[in-house]
Amino acid sequence: MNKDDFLAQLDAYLYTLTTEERESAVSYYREYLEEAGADAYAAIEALGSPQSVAERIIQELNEGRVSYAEEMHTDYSYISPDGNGSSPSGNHLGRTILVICLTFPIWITILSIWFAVAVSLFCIPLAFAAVTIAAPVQGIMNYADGMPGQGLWYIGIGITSLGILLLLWKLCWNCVKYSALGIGGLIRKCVNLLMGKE
Amino acid sequence: MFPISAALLDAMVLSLVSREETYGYRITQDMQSAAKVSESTLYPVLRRLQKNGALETFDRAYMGRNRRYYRITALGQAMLRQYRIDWEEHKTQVDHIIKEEPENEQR
Repeated sequence: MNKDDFLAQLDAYLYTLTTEERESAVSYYREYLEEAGADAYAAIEALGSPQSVAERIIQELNEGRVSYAEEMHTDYSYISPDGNGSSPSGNHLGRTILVICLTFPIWITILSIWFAVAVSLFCIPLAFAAVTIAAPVQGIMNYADGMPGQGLWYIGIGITSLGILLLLWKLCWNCVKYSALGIGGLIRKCVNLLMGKE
Repeated sequence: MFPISAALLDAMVLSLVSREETYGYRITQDMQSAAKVSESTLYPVLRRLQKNGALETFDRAYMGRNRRYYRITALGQAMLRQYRIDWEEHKTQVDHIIKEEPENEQR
């Protein structure tokens, strides 16, 4: 892998960071590899994959400090010739955070849709609850005003609404509950898959 | 052989920069002559020290390109002084156990 490829890949892996952080890191490594000059290829080999370099930067920014004790046992065998090798096992929490950050566009979409649907599902029983309360009140007021026919009609609407509410409440609640559990399980499965665990 | 802790790494970087204004590649080379730290370790450390206000950077042209130099701040100097005190203490404590003959006890 040449210098430009390394820097381009590093930039891509840092996309969760702010522009300022990304530019700072990329310009540091550009300068670093320019300093290495003729030894740039060896320097790239020694740095490891752009992904692992990026992970290190992200980890530091997220957690404050990296465990330097771990790197004493750094194994460079994971670096494949094209530099696309997977990263070392590293810190489990750090990797989890990284996976969560990198999959941000996916899960934020799923969560937004789920949230919108959940709110809508809550609004349906809420509307019937409102009718259940308001309609009989209107009916009683109509009785008081000497319009028993209209009053009876409103009370009927109230009772019907109560029936629908009782039917729908459990249904809507279960939809929200089980979809939340389903999404939770799905996310867990995706994370495990990306982390290479079953 | 012995792992470099995050604090020790900070102390070593601060000390290197306090000697003279220096740049990323050189700091990495200098560090590697003393301890086994991986090449990708230094940038996050430098960045953090810079953000904490212990180091500041300035750019200088070198052979038609830019070199970003690091310089220690007053805060960095104060941190380094404390690190040196802590390091002496740590060294003494470890020596106390690891050395064959205790220094302060004549037998």
